[in-house]
Amino acid sequence: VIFFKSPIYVNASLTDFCATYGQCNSSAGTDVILGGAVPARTFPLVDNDGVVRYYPQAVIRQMDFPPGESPQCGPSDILMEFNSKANFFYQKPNTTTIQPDQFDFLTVAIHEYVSCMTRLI
Amino acid sequence: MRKSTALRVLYLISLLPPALAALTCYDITSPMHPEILTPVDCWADFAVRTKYTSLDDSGKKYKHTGNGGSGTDQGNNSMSATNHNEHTSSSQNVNLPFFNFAPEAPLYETFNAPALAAPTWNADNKIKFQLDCRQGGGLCDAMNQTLYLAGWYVSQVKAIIVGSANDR
Repeated sequence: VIFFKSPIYVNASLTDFCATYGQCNSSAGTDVILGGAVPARTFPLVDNDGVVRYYPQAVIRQMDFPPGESPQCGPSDILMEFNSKANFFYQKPNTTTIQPDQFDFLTVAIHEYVSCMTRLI
Repeated sequence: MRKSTALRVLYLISLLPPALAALTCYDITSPMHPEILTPVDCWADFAVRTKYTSLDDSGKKYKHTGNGGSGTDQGNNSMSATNHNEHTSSSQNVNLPFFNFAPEAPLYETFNAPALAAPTWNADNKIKFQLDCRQGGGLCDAMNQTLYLAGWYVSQVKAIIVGSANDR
């Protein structure tokens, strides 16, 4: 579990990747892009080792900056986009079990959350 | 982010004039196009800039002003001691030389701050999201609930520690 000092704000959208980005499924349907996520803003900071790294905004929000020296954050910390053409499985009451050709949306969503909070450039 | 994307980002940064790159944050507008970066002046407080611009730009810029210099953290707390040593050695070069004015990461203060209280099962979900979904058939509702559940798992649910001494 991650203990957040400040809430994380996520902007998620469901998009037709084929129509919007030309990322269409193959005939086998196995190479579909399920989704993606990026930090909405990245900030350069010098670490203890003297190296400059870019920090995602979700991490910046958790840091203790000296008073008056906090950087300006944008409205969203994380941008997520999921493919409306992907065959996602959602855990809902009275739903059947996941099928072999389905992708567990919960797993994908957790992956995207964590990847955007732990990514340094 | 893919490694190639990260390399592209670094390549783009290297093309920027030093004064601009030193203070610039970047907005990414789409997860599908992380290579498209929009420079943003995120250090609006000019006092912050001038504070850091006064530092030596010879590659020995790192000067930490944290409160770990009393010497009491040597020995028992190895992490604090390591950090202290790093802070006092100012001869390390910055990996990107034009970042002479990038602010210092407050990791030392953050890591040494009192531990946060563990979340309770009923605590507010710390991950808040806004979903843009125009699909029918209950899909948006299912996605909404699952995104909430994913955020709840990340911020609320403690991992079960397996492989304890009794299990081994």
